[in-house]
Amino acid sequence: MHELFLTTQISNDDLQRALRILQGYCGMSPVHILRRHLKWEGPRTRTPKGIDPAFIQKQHRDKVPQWKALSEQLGRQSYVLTLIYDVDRGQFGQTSTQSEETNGASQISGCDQIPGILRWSDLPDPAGNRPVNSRLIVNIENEMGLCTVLKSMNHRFSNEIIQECNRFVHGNVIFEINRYLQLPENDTPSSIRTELPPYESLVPFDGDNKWILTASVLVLDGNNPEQMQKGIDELAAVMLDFEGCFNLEKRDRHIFDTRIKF
Amino acid sequence: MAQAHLTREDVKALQSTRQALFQLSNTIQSLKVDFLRTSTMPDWTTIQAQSGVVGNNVQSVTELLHKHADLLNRTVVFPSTNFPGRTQEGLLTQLLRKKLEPQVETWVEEGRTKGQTEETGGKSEEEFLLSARDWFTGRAAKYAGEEASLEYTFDEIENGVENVNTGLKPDDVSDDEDEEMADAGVAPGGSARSLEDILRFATTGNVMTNVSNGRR
Repeated sequence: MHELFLTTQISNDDLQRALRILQGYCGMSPVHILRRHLKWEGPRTRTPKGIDPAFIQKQHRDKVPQWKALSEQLGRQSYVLTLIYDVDRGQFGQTSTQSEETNGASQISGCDQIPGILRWSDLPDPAGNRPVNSRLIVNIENEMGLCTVLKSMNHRFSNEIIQECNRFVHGNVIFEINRYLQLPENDTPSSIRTELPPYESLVPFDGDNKWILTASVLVLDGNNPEQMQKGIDELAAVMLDFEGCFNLEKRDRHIFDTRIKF
Repeated sequence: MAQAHLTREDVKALQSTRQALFQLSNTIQSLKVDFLRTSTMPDWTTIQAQSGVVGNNVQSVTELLHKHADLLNRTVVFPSTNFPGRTQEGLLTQLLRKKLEPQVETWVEEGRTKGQTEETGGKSEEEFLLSARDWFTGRAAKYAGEEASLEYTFDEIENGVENVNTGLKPDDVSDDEDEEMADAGVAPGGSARSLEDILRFATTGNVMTNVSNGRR
């Protein structure tokens, strides 16, 4: 699957205005989403192994092609992988006794108990004269026990980010106004938190509290030039619609580099 | 009055021409009265509607004149012997007069020359369009340069912009959710990051320092 996307920034002062503009443009109220992003780094080796074929065979047959595609990529090069879990405001600042009762003893089992999304994205393609960024992605959704899976694949948990998102959809275009929040320092940075700190203690990654607006289109088959062109056209139309309002742009592809360098 | 060589159709044609002229003179008259009756000018829409009616009348008159040109050219007034010439002398001379009255003659002249210039050149219209174009170019440039970025109309600026309801600022209707979104998680401190740094962080979770910012 290919993702075509454009990005720009919105200052916190302009956030409400931007939300209203998009609300009008898309004819819908924003969908608020809070997500934990767990970043995992692949092994630092020039000869990574990919995913165990026996494991892939055990997966649901609808998802086997996705796991295979991911394995093919990870067999060539180590990447940063992301596990994404939906959370809500009520889960922040909860006491540990509650979560331990429900989650059991193991530290990582907290996230393993709930379904999450495994996301891999490639370094975006060289743009050429395309007006948008495009990259190959694999999204394996609604999976349990992903932390354990990644550990067994020799991936190392590296960081956690909270994504605060307002999402709109217009035709095939997905608009997201995101900001990224950092969690306060942990006693044991290398382990995954079983409980989330109070929401108020989160710190925006950007000191100016800027928001990132992304307009994206997913193309099922990136090798089909017709599909790609249709996606590019839709995104280019959006870029034109918001000219002078949101400066949606194609960015340097190396910003989105997920390869492990060592 | 003699009806010697006029057929029934000819009379009908003359009648309809007379009718059209009568209507035309009536509408012109009522337009004139409208202007004279009140001290203020009538509403521009009324004037426009009335001149439209006058125009239609003129058109139907000219159409009739054109249609019956042959008949009208060869029809002459021939008073019969029993016409009361002494009492109706004024009407009689008006009917018998073949030349136009001097005043009318100048009108006709004016009309003819006007018609001719319009047919041959149409120059005045072109001049009008050119001057309009010149004016618009300058005005549009002024708008784009100075006024397009203004967020309020001149009226609103004059009356004070504080009370203008743009529908964009939720000052009065504080949406609970909005407020929640706005103040949540904004802990003080932290340095400002560029768009690139934020995107990089969101993609990999790594905070790039300036030194290791190189590409491969």
